[in-house]
Amino acid sequence: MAIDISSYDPRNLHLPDGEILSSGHLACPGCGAALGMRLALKALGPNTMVVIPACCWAVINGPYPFEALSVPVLQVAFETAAISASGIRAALDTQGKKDINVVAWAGDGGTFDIGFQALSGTVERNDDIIYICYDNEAYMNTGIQRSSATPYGAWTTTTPVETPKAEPKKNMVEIMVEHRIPYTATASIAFPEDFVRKVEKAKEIRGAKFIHLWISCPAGHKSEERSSVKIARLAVETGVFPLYEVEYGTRYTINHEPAFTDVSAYLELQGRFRHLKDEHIETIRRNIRWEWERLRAKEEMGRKLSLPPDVVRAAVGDGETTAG
Amino acid sequence: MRMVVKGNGAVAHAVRLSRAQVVSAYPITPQTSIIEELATMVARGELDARFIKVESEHSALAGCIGAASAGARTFTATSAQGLALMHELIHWAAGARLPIVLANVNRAMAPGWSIWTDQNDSLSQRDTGWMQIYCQSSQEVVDSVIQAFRVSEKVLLPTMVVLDAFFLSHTYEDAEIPEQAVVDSFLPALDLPHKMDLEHPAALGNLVFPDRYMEFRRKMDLAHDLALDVWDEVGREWGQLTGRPYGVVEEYRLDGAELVLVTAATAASTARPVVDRLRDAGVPVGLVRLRVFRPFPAAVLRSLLGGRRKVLVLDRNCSFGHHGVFHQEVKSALYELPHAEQPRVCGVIAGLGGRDITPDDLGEMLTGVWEGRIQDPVTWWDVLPARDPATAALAMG
Amino acid sequence: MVELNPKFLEDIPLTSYSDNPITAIKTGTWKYVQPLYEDRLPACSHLCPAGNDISKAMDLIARGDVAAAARLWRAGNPLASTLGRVCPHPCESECNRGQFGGAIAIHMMERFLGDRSLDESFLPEKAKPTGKSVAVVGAGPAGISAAYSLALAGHEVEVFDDKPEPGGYLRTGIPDYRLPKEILDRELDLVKSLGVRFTCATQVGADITLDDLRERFDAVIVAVGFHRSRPLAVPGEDHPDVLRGVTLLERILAGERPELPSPLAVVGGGNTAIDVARSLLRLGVEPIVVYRRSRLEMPAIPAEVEEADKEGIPFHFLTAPKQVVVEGGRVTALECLKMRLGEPDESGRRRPLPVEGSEFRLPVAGVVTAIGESADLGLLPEAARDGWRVAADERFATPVDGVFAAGDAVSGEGTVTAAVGAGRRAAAVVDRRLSGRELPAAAPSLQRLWRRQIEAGHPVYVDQLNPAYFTQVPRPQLRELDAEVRSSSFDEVVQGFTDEEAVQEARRCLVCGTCNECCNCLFFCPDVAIHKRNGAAGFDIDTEHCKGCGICVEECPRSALTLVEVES
Repeated sequence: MAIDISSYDPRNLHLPDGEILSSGHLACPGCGAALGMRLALKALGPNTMVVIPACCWAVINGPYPFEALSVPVLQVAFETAAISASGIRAALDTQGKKDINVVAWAGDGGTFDIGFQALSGTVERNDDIIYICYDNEAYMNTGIQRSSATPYGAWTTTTPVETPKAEPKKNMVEIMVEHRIPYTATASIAFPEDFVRKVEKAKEIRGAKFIHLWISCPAGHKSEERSSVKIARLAVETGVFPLYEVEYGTRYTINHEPAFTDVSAYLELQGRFRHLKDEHIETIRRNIRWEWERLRAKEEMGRKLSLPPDVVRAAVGDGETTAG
Repeated sequence: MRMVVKGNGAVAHAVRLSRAQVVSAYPITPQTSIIEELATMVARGELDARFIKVESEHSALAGCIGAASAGARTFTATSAQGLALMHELIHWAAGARLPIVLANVNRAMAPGWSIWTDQNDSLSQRDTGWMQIYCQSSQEVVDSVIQAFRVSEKVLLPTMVVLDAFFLSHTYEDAEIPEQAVVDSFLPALDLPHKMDLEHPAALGNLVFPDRYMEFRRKMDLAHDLALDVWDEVGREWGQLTGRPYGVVEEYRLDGAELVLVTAATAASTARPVVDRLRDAGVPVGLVRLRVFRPFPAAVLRSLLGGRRKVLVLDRNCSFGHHGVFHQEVKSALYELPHAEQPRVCGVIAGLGGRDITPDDLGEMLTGVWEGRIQDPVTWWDVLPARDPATAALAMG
Repeated sequence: MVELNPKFLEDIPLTSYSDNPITAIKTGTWKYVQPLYEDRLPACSHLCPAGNDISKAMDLIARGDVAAAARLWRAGNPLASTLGRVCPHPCESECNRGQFGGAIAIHMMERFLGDRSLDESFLPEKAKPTGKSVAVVGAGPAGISAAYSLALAGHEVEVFDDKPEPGGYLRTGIPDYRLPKEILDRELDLVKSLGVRFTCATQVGADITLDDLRERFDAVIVAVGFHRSRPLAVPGEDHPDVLRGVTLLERILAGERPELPSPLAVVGGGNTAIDVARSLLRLGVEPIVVYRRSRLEMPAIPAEVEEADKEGIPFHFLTAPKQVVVEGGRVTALECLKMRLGEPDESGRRRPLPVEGSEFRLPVAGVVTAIGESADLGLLPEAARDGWRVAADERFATPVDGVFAAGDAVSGEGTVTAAVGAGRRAAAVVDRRLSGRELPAAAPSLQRLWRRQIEAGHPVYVDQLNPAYFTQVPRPQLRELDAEVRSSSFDEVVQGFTDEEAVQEARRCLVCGTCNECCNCLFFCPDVAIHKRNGAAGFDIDTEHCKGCGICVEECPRSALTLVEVES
């Protein structure tokens, strides 16, 4: 029978083999951060060093004397993920080891708030690191306090239901875009191939790369553990969290056209939004439309603009390269 | 090679000669010329290093921690507000057992906003596990920075090399800048045992439960004990290499001294001629200059000060609520002497915020103590006296 | 590597240098529920009256292993090629792929598998001979199926039928353009290859009695089906040009091409009526179908009705016959009454009620009745009869000891597929009886007779699938003979799948309820606790580390995983 058996592939996801994350780590059941790290490491491979500031992953990684990753990990002070990575990169450069991935893996607190300054410094210098912010939208490690990544309307322990978060989520991606770094992108654990592709792409670029990864947190979002991927998918499909990439602060590419499922489908799966009234949800809908209008306008505009002239961050002076 | 250098320039040369691999630093007066000279050296290829021009001092030390963890020899420099901003990471660097060398130009803490010298900034860091070494001359700065890399990399603790603002940092003196080959023979390449290594992946800096934390801290303390001997050995070895030996303290005219001035940094330089003058006048005065402050050379001080009649400790700092730091530490070291050998110890606080400590001041302090006019445990020098010293309200306005 | 519980400072590093794998921490102790791979019954198999393991077969074909799929199918079903032509495929009506582009053409796939396996090599191994024997009365689909299962179980089987050739309704009631008789014969050959003997032209109840059979055999299964037509009960019915549909079909299938008047009214809404109408067309007669309810209530297979539409056959719905009008010795019209639909009757369909004064005449030259059949139960004692049905309980057992019954004669269900399923289940009960065990409380469900374990309690419907992983892929067009070409011959109308078409269609199957190693579970596990088995199908769950979060269960596209409580 002339049947092509080789073309049979039941897999929905095609991801790199090999695991760098071990079982036994201390993440909560259903933790999006653990899944995110697993996927990121698949893309990064064993030639990687990871910096983890204070955040959930600092605990997930296990207490002394255990380690959860089979690559070197440096756990650092809360504010310092980006600069610690820059330091490692500088050291490896002096040792002539130019092909090791140096990755900062930080939560939203350590990126949007306390780590903001160091991050801005590192990317302004275009230090050759990959910075991945895994965003569960609050200070989850310390017990669910609000951060500037917490979305409008969300309950946290410091924005209780009487006064839920009134400010919109800070747009860290656009802030990174305005630093004109070679590569900025958003990603979601529900779109693993897209995330892996973006990390693999970042690996190949010299200079500062920033990836904003949306992750679920059953404990902090008050959602079911089993729904972590589903909720992450809805974040994208409702338009709450767009998937896009920006090169050199100019070229925008929207990677996924959402179905624009009504946002209530996303909100109702999370207890942190349970108190919202119709008018708040309507505000959220308007905000989604507004953000998408801007995003599409930027994509449109980006097509017409040329890339920055110093797009290849060439050596300045006597051969000083990045981190120097 | 003999050169005329200011203290900051001496730091830069020493860092160059020590072949630092990563410099991660942020400017602050009066440290700036250290990093400017280093930046120029790097740009000209005289120093093969990566210079991370960070956006704050907190990041400066964080950058060093990252780089040192990956096995590089690292250096930074700062002062006062910058050092205070780094404080969280000062603890971190020591706990992580990283041999980072930091040059701190002693500068007064704000407010009042001051760029001039006093020692509160560095002494505020005394509990963190860093070694601290106080220099009095450009020569000593050159020599001590190089020694600091050596000692740090041996005991695996970071070292703060301290210079007075302006009096040392910006005062030009002549100094012998050693040859590269000499330094190379003295300072081998760094091989950090716990560095990040793809061949031996491990996590550093993770959670430590109560059952283990104290052991790590005990090891730090043991390293300090060891370090006193190492500073000594290294100081002697350096002496053999260059003709300039160093000890953990410097003794001056202690033979037969019944009154000893104990102090650190440039005030000690100023004191030497005063000691000579008083000796000529028949006052049996001597000087002990504190050089290595952490680890604290308690035993050495006991051996040098035990049995003397009086000791005057001059602090260019104040630990509010308990007066001068050197004073407290010297006294507590001397307490272990048998009662009969304990000298009478007085403290003077002077020179805060860069106020000059003149030879006359020193003369008055010493004679005042010798002749019993200065009796109080602590005297604030040259400060308008309180009308009613017992009134605490003066603290408030 | 550091001592985990050192006693001495020397055994501790300078700083918290951690290189012990965290797998030492058994996070599996955290869970109170854990995932379990459990094959579940898909909607299609749930509805399949013959109990075919559809999703598994589709998965095998998708992988290219048509032979394994065919063997799987034939393990319980001797009439795959037949059913693949005549089954009304209720499976397709619930096929979950229907929401994602169109139901799998399961009917065509069954036919494909059947046609590719008309060979003994695809049959399962027979069990060792038991020394027991069973008589089956009726060589229709129920009887053939029962005989097949019993022969595979190692029993001696002899099938009796009053017709000259075996097949029952398959031979006498289904036209060639739906079921070529060569196909039926080849499938019967397969059954015979297992040692089953067919004794035809022998009527039990006349040529031989039931008691004779009970003496000669260890058990008897009565599967005589429905072969008698019900009368119209209107005046003029006794005219020679008022024909019985079932009988007419028998004649046509026997090869006759009778001369018939035209047009002919065909009264009825079931498969027989449609088969009659379409057969008449091929004989050059103009059929007019008259049915007392509306199109929606027609019991005929909708696809067959559609074919009739395509062939241009007219339908009069909500029309019931009142009288056959005979003038000058000939049938000139069928007087009809318009009907309207009232409350549902005992069949659950809305009862047709006459519209007063709505009589009208349909000019026709004759009438064919096809309003239902009944069983010929002469062979059974009164005790074993229940009106026009055989009295049999949930174990297919009649009150007469050792006598069982299955198929239309018991249920009146009217499809070949249900008969095949009934035959198989009855055979399972008889097999149990013959092995000396007690009869069960009820006959096992068909899924219990499968080779693989399946959780049959909660079939997988589309709400239990994860739609994120399925895209719309349209159902392929089936190739058929042109409407003009086909209505002039009895050649098969619908053309079967080629190998490539079958594989492609099988790959559209969502494989509901059965793991097909899509690996979603493996990739989405935050704890890396799901591992592909080495050299075997499926996955192992590392229960020492699985925290029971259930993401794997949620992200399984096809509901092949479930969460169960951890035993404490």
